[in-house]
Amino acid sequence: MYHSRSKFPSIIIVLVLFFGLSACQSGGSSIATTPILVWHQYTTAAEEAMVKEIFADYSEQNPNVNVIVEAAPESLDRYDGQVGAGLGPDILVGGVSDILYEGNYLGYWQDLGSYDVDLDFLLPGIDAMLEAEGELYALPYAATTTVLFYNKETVDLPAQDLDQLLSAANEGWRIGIPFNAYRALWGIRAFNSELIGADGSLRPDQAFEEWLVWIKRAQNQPTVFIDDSMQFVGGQTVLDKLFTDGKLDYLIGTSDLLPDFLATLGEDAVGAAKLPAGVNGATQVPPELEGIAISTSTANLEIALDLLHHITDIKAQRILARSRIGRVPVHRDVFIDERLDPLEAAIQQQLDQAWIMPISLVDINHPIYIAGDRVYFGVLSGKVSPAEAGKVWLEELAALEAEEADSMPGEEGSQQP
Amino acid sequence: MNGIDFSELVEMINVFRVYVGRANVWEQLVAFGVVVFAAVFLTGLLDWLFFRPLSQLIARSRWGIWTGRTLSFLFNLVRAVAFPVLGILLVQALVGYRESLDQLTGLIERLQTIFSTIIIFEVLITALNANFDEEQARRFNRRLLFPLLVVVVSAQALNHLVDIRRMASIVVASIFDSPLTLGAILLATFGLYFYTDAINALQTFILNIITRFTNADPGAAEATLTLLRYALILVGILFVLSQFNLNPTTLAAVTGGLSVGVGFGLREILSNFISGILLLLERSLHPGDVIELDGELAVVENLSIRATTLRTLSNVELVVPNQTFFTSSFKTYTGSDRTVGVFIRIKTDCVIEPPAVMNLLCNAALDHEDVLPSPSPSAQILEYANNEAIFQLAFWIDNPLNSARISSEVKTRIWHALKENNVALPFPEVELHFEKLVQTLAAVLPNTDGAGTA
Repeated sequence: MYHSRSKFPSIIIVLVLFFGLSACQSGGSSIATTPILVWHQYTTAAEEAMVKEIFADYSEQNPNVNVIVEAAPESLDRYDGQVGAGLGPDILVGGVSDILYEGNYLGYWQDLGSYDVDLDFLLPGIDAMLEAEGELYALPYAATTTVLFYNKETVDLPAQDLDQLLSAANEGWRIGIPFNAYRALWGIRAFNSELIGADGSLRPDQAFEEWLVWIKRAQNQPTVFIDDSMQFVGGQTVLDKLFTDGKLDYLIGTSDLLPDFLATLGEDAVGAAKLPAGVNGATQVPPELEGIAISTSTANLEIALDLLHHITDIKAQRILARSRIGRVPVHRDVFIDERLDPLEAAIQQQLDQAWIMPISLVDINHPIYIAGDRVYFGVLSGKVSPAEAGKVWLEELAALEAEEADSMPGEEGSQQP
Repeated sequence: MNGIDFSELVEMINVFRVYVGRANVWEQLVAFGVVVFAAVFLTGLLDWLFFRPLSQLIARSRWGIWTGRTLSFLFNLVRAVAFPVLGILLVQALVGYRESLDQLTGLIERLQTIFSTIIIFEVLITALNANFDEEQARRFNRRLLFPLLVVVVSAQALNHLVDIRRMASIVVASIFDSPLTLGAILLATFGLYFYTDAINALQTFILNIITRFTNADPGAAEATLTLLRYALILVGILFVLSQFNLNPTTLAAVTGGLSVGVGFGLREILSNFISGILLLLERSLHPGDVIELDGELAVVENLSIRATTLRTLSNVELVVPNQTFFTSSFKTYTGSDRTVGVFIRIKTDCVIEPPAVMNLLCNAALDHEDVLPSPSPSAQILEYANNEAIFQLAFWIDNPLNSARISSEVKTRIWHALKENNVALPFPEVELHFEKLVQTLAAVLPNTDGAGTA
């Protein structure tokens, strides 16, 4: 009888030898350039062009380094699989909260704190958002925040505060407000609430109730569209789509929507301003940082560290500033002139009023926000009154944490913070 | 055709260089290699200590047919999957060990899928060996399963180091402004190869089922399946062509070129091709048919689209272009009826009455197990000559290939029957007359009694 059994081990042995020989060839390489792999998490052409421009600038200065810039795999399974196998990038450029909380506890990224990384260039307060469990896993180079977008073809001067925004709604201006616990953090701070403490604790207060009363008033306006579902249709939320279709005059949204809006509405129609001021002045919002992390698998640590410095130096930060992708530099010496670029300048001005909170809390999947979504839905539907919302939020959070504890017995020690 | 752009490929090779230059990737590969060697060693040990003695035991045991077959199948299956199963167990142990040291294990875990793939193939191969004859199983293994395994395992291994989908989308050339991707080339080569072989295997598999479990004519079934196979292959080729993204203008140009080629160089091939299709459609020839071509008896082994394979009685294969069957005549013994008449001429003396002899001849034929009782054997007297009667025995058989053997055996039986009934098989009788010779000798020789004549 025919048996091909003996051939199977040979296939695997040949494959292992093949990879091994390839590794030997790479180790003793006679090729002049050293390849280094960069993954980025951007999806639009403008964003990708910005990243490539920054790294092309580095390659020009260092012709012996071949920086390969690729988009990170869209599939989360493939992303995790590749990085977890040591087959990820040398350097990852992307959301700091993603880098920190979807990879650091698995040992994917280097603790940059051990390499004497200079953080003095950062905007004041930003450095307080970086560390997790006492280690620094990413160096920020850009930030997004939440701003008030408006359509310049219909709005001459944007609303400056919350009262003006409600008045505008009264006068028939169409306003879109995303309303889930994460995207509406700005409203909490507009009323100067201390709802979420720096330690991640919930502290319902009178200001939080006032914020909910305001949103209920806004909800009663026929031209105010409040979206608590945040469902994506064709890559956009319903409110984003309404704004790009010219059916909204105002939209409260994240600054990284800017490239989409510019592409669809055009330069002359898109305006951006700081969020409407709250009861005590400027409205704060926690920024979302984008940064650069170095893989624990890299074989070219020195080059990776050099690239780290390159992307955060003032020249690269200026490339970012003029790329108009809705991100602004985190370098304290890069100033965007309002006369030259009012859109990016408005984003930078909003960033100057950042609500600094620990990076662990700047994560849309944090239990606080998951519990809060249920509360916000209850408030909008009238099932929960603004007065009892804080108490319900505390109960929902406790129930959620109890559920998680039940579903992962014995794994408490390995949970994310 | 435009110049080939290798930039994407070069970039992928550089990414590959990044990966294989990493210490932890290399560590995982070495660890995986150690697992493979350990699995090979342990499988060998297991084979020597356990499987071989058990195999001999099973061979010596007397089981019922079904019990024996089932036990044999299960034993072969366990033996076949021993290596990959051991591999998976060792990988699990290795992963646990590396995790305890806080080392990466993702690559090792992913390479584990190779062992899982091998398990699937081993099960298939064992099933194949159990259900097909040895030659067929060997052919499927060699031509389809093993190459497929190599490709799948290589793709699995490579998929972790390069993005195969991206690799497939690399445009390596442009034909008449139509981009030709690496994926399309691989599909047109490896893809088509495996597709046609899989179709062939499927045909054999279905044919086996038909011949085993139904009363359908195997030849007709094979002809129908062959026609279906070529139709499916044609669909496959059209699909592959569609992957080349040829625009209509290009297609027109290619078709025009082909028609010129067909008109000149490919005329014979096309003629054979069409003849093959007609043979299959007309079903004038089936695999298993016995025909006589150029005076030689042969069995139709295989009908293909270009040529027909015949096997002669001396076990020589003849590959005959299909158009031969349309341009020259041939004799078929199995066209609409497999019954063939065999005629034997017998000479006997005239001692016994002819009806008795004819009866003897018919009975001798009927006694043979391969002679058909219907139509019944018949004997005729052809003529009388030289004190002998010449008979002809006619009988019928259902396998023309056996006519020589059966004829010989029936003749032997006739000899015995005639002998038992005292009927002689006459030798030729010749009368020699020496009168002139005697006279001449008498004239020239001296008188033998001493008197003499001279």
